[in-house]
Amino acid sequence: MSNLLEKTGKIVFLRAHDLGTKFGPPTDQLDVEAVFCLNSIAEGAFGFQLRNDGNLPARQAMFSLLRDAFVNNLPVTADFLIDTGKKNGVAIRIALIKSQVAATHAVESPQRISGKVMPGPEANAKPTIPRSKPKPRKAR
Amino acid sequence: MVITPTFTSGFNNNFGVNATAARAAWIAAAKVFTDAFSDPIHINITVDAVTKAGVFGESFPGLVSISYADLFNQVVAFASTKNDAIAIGPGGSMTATDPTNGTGIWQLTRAQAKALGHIPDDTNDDGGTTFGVGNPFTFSGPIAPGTFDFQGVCAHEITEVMGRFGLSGGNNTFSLIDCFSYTGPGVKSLGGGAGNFFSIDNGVTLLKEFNDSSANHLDTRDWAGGTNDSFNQFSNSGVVNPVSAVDLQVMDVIGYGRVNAIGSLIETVGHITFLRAHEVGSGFGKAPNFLDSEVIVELAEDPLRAFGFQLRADQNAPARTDMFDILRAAFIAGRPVRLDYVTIGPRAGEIIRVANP
Repeated sequence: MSNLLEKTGKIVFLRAHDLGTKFGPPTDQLDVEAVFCLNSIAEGAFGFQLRNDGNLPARQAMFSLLRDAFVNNLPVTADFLIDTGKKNGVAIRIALIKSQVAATHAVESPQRISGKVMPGPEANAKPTIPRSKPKPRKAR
Repeated sequence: MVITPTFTSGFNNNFGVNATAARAAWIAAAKVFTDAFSDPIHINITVDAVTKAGVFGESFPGLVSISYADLFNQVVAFASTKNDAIAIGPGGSMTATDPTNGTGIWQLTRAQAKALGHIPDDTNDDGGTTFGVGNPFTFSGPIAPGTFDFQGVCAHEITEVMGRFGLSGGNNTFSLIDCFSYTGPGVKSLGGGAGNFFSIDNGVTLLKEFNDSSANHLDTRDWAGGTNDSFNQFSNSGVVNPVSAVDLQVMDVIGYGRVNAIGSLIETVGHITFLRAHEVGSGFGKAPNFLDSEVIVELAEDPLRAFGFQLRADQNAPARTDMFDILRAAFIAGRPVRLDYVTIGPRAGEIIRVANP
């Protein structure tokens, strides 16, 4: 049974190899062309196929992120499918995550229009009148 | 957002010579909210006036029911502002768990339900506002002594139709604004009463006190008083009663925000905090913000939204691979990136262009 798990760590091993070379022992083998290991796991590796098929552009992008993480010593987050009891899993998502301080807020807050002058109440501001209580319509 | 009034013959006849000025004041009051918020909806309000004594301002919102789970999901799905981010965040006033423990009935006003995507936008009537013509009003210009700021009264009633309307446990019904009522840190007060304050951060910051409905049997979610304000329960004469910052904060968290119509082409600039590539078909997020994309980007400057594009073996593959490479380079260098995207959900956009700022 496959489980979808996530792991974050720095890449300590990154490999690409010829089609069909595979990775791992026969009982825990990955039929993949891209393989990587993270420092956050003691044993096991992740990989994915890198073949001339409909997934090629997406998987090349995944591999590019692995390369970036490896070259720049950045942590990478991998989502992977792994069978119960196995140590090697198939990566399906690769992400780079970093905290960055927002330079400006792209979303304008409605509060920005609040800079109105609030006139003070006049000395003879009374009387006050209670507003009539709103009456909800029947629920539709 | 478009707010369309339908002035009744009673409004025009009963206001008589003041009808034109009264209509203009109502429209000016509505404009405050259409300027502040951009939800792609139409709010349609019937506007009436009566000669009956004792009527000052009244509202008659149309209501629709919603389960709490759906209410929470829609509030999260349509979050678009900093206030929303606080309200739905870990220390926010909106909790995934129903604060009535499943015993209460939740309702939205029709207008609010459209803003939150619970019902489709339409041109049907969303409710009414009614004013008593026997009161001394100032319709424009400085507020004359002994008269009331009619535009402020209009803002008060319009926003009740929009959802600023506490049901607060009457007939075991509750409204979204009730979720933002607190007597102290972590102490929600759904039912109204003394010492209820508006708070978006679970009662840690008490922003303004609600009217004590237990004392005067009036509205639970009008303001108790203090600074002159259009949302006050009691309206002072001789003064402007404006729509204040905290008033807009209320409207923001009860469903209104900076939401662009689906299909809008938007430009945003920011620093990448999240860059992901994944297998074809994995997708990202959930409806109405699901991105059927293979590349996902999030920006520090626009933290409530996610952006993406497809990276498939098609004629776009070369261009999109280069778009992806620009994103990678920007991420590694910690430099900002400019994205042009088409909105596919209130919090999701499909990237069509990537560039340096």
